[in-house]
Amino acid sequence: MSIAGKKILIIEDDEHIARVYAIKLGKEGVTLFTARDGEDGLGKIQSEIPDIVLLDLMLPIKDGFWVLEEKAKLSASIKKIPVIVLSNLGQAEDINHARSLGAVDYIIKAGTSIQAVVDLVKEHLKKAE
Amino acid sequence: MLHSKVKRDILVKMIEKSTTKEGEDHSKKPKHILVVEDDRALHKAIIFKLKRLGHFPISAYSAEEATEILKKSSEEIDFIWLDILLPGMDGLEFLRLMRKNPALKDKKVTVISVSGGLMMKDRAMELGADDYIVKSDHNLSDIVNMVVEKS
Repeated sequence: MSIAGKKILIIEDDEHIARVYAIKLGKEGVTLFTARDGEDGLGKIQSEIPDIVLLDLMLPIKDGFWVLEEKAKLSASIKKIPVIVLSNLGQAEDINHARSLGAVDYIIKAGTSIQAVVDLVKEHLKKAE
Repeated sequence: MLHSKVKRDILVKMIEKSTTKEGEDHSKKPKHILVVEDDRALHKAIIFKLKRLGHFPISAYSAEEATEILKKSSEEIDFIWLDILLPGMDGLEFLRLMRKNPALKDKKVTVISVSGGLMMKDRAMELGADDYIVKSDHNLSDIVNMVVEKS
């Protein structure tokens, strides 16, 4: 499935990780937006209306859980934007909490290849169509 | 005279009631916690978890950095989360020096170590640790909860 032209927002404070995702997803022809903290991330969700969001949890200023909580309070069109959580927190309580707040998937960064993330993005974009 | 004493006692009780809610859980009050941990990924996760619980963690990646922070703002810090295996000065030496310092000797310290060896635990307790938790025995959320409750 081609995801060219889709808008993807990466909310990740680790510059290196964000760049790696940006390069890999950039090759798929998507339009990328990035945010380094939760507050900026939520702002870009509202201003850019991405097709999908990749969200880290441990972020400065406002964390990823906050982004999920606040996004759930917004309009229906914002609420339905799928969010994939990318985190190094691998405990069941964190995964369940993120899912209960509306994350469509939860990836533990250390154990997942970049290609697997791209495949998951494609899968969820297809589902959202 | 007796009348005024009774009045004063009643007033004191009223003030106590107004400032201390019944059943208030003091362990849930926000605390300023100095986290001394050099593993950056673990450090970030600890800070994240403490913040989620409403506390105010302060970061130090070495004993030397923690010493500088304590010099400037020891009064603000409620307790210390201390790793043992640190670059430079190790956690036990940091603890030993802390306990020699009159300004810091009563500061609560929980040692969080990868070592479950009794010798290490005994040494830490002997040097004045208030508690000793072995990292591998618990998940991070449990450790965070234990540290906060024990504080």
